[in-house]
Amino acid sequence: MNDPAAQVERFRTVFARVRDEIGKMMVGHAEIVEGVLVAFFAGGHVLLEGVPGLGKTMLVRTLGEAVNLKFSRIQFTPDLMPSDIVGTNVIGEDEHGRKTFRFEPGPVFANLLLADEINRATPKTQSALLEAMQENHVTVGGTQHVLEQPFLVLATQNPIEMEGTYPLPEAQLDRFFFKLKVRFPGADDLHAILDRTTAAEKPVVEKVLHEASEILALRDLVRQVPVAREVQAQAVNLVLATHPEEALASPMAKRYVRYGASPRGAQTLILAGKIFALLDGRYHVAKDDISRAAAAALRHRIIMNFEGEAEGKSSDNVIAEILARQ
Amino acid sequence: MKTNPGADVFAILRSLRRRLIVREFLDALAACALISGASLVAVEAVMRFLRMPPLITVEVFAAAVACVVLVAAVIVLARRRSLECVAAFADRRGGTKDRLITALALSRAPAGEVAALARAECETFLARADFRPLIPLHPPRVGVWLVVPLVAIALLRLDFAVHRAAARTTAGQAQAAVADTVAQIEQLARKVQQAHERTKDEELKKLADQLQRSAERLRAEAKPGDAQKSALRELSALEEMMRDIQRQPSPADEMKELAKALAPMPGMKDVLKALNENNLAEAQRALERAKQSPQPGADQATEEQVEKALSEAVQNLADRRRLSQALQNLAEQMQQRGGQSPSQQAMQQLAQMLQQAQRGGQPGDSSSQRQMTMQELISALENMKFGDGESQNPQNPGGQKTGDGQQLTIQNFSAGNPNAQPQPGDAQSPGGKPGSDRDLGTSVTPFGEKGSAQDKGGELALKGQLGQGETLSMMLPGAADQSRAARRYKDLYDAAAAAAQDSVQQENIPLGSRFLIKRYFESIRPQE
Repeated sequence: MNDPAAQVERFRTVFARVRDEIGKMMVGHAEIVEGVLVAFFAGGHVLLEGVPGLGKTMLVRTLGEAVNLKFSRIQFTPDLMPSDIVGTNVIGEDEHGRKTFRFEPGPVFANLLLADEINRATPKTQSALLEAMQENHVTVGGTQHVLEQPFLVLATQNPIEMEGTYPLPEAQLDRFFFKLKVRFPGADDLHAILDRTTAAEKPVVEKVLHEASEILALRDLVRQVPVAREVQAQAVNLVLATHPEEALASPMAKRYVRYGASPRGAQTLILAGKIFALLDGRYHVAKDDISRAAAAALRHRIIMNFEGEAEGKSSDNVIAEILARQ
Repeated sequence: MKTNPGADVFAILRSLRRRLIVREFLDALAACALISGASLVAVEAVMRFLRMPPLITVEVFAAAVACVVLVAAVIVLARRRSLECVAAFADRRGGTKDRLITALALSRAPAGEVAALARAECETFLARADFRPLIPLHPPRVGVWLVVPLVAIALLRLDFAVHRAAARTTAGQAQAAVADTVAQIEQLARKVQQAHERTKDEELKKLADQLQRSAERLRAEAKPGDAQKSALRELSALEEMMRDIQRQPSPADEMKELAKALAPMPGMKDVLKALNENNLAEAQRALERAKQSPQPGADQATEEQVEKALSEAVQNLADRRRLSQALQNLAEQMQQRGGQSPSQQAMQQLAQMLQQAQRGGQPGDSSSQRQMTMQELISALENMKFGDGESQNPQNPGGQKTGDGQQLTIQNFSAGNPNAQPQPGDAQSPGGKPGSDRDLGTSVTPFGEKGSAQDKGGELALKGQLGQGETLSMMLPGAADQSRAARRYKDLYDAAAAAAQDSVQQENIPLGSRFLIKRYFESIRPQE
């Protein structure tokens, strides 16, 4: 399997099959599923924003089943402690009956972690995920514990209930590859959901991948996709256009944006563009691929100012204007 | 632009760049031509507005075309795009998913396996693509608008041609209208020139030149109405100049003035008599006799009388705006009070002038000839201004037809035509002043016939009665209402009001004005 063309073809096949398997369990939300898979194969994490009951947990669980990865779920609450996430040292007895400290891994030690309603936990607990998400290891009692790869965090937050929540800090938001907005399904999708969940037969999810190494190989393949400098400039210009102090800034960015996207935003655009290019049957990234990833990659990295919030402008409006100007 | 699979992307891009350059050149050419055409139209319109000949000739048009081509070429060369720009342009227009720019980048940089795969895929795609429709080579759309400046220039030139033909016709009419005047002025110029050659008088030379210039100016007139007016203006100016020259004293006048001033001296009356008779030889002989005869009577009183008379004579001549070099010398010597007495200096100066006059011929000849020439010229000019009573056109006696069909009546007011003299009260006759309009108010009895009032009734004196009829008055708002320093203002008012009352009573002030002043002081009276 050293033929790159065959590897690319396998990537497309795996991607399509995983998407189909998730589609068995999750109705609609094709963009959400695609975004989660793109982030998964790019090695990033996803922040899902939507009301409860839209199938976010089902999405992650199905993904874990399809790619044969360990799945865990944490329901974030205000009294959740960091040790509840990363684990803790407990006293145990060895085979000789001596008391020793033994590390009891937390739910973060999984390949797929669903952090449900992450904004309900305190910032201290939220930051416990920070090291895990970025460094892929946790430190407990002075000992580093490396997380198993691949590691994907899918965090959810409810945009309606803001009371008693702790909005994620900018540094933690920047660590999410994509922020996807899960919208309420339409009537047809609702019918399909009812048909599938209330019938006697339950769909069976088949395993598409059996080894984590296969996923890592596909991730390496994605990073080999070439990007021309002119195309890369598109990503750079997009990020610079979100900064109000830059010459490339759009009028809305100058007026409504307090802080623009970070360099991680440009990295996200390129990586996502590479996956979109492969999915489109190409071996190179086009500007359209960059534009396609712009909203999901930049919306949580743009911090609006008070005027923008007061006038109801969102980062999606800013990104749409920047894309329209290019 | 079909290429073989795996064909060089550089060849594709260079071919695209050539097409792009050609198209940009055509666009720049059209834009520059439009700008140039608009500029030429503007310039042509300005020239037309200023009644100047058209600027656009074949040479100018060729130069403009050359400039347009040059500027368009410079613009295209300055804008010359790199292959990356061409690739980006074609990618943007062709929907190639950035295959051109990627193929170009991968052709230049070492690539990995997937990159090689990408390059091959791009080149395969490009080999199938035809990029010619992306850069169509057709005449620029804005080129259609070039018709506008061309039509405008053509219309302006047509208008100019029409106007020039009309102007030529008008100029011909104008020249015909003043042709006689010009010919007569030129004839006068020749006569004056001949007189100058005879008398060597510089004034006549200047006059001849002035006449010649006037004739040339009249010949340049293009409008019939203006030509008539210009002719009258030139003739008036010439007449004024001649009268000015005529008023100036001649050497003979100067000698007479000198002799008259020296009359108290013994023997000088004979000199004066001879000069009055224009007999210079006799005057010189009489002067020699006066100088050789003893001078018993040249006492101090006579010297003072002579000096005073000489000063008056010099001043008189100077007032006539010309003084010969001899008299200037005499005046300076008199001021400097040299060794000789004024009478001796004057006699010596007179002798020199007589000698010069004798050497130059009879002074009376030159002076009288000049005066005669001037008189002839003035008469001729008057005849030309007002007509000589003998019209060139028997159908239009005493008048000339102007270019626009108006009848210009010119009446002879010369001395030889006493019937044509402007009569006071004649509304159809000019006032006699050169260049003036018809004098409708001239009358020998501008204040009515003498005694006509008495014939029609007795004198009536109109008397008015005070207190009846309208009186001019105005209401002045009181300033006291707006004042806050009421105490000081009241003091000032009391002082001023009393003084004003006294003045009104004492001074000779009309009664109506007294009332006005009283009302004024009432209006500014401070409130209690």
